[in-house]
Amino acid sequence: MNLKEYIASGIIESYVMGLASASERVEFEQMCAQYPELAAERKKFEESLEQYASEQAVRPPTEVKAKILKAIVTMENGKTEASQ
Amino acid sequence: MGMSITYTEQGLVAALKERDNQAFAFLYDHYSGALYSIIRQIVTDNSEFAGDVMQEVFINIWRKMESYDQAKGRLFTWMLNIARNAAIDTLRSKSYQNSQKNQELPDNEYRGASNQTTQQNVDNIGLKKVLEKLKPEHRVLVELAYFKGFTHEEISGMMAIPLGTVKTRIRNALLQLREYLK
Repeated sequence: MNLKEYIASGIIESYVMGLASASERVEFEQMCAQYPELAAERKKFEESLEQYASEQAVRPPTEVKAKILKAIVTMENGKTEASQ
Repeated sequence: MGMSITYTEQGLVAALKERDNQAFAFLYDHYSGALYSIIRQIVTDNSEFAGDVMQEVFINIWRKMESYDQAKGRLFTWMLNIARNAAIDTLRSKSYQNSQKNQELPDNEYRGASNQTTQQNVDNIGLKKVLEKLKPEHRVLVELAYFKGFTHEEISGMMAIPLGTVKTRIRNALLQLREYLK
């Protein structure tokens, strides 16, 4: 298969959205490393997905942020104590 | 945004890998809405569960940051997949399924109506909204694969469609979705 066909096959979208199989992922990552044009196409799709997702943002409950920040501080402190 | 510090994606990733709390707070402020949106599109019926998933997702992002590889994709893509996977795990959990059974009203709209002031209507947001533009036979496959987390093999069995057809239809559907995102 040539690169143009590969790009047009939907593999980029399938990979980025987490729907590619394990073997498809391995192949896609190798192809991206080999063909900068493919990696550039992947990036383009990632950017439009990100742009769209940001436009469609839903504000999470306000208390969530504090809970998360507290949890990571606790995790980090736990680690420091464990390593001392 | 009113933020005193801004980051390039490179700089943000580097700071996160060094476990910089401030960078993590910035990450939350910038991406939590987009990630919460995808969680709500999957865990549709219970916002308490969605809040829990959100916490789990950001804690996982923090924990797994070292394994994030920029060569494989953008930071947002990586986080989006963590969020989608965590939401699907919750969707399949016993506690979520039990909470579904305990809901008295069968219709989403009625449940949403009781607390409309605090919640956005999430029936029609994000990728779900774009999905509506697809042909029904494509839409159902993307719904099952992306929003419900079924494998192509499972879908093939459930829908009695050959595996190759499932794969081709999903890929074609995603190519169409891409056009609608532009």
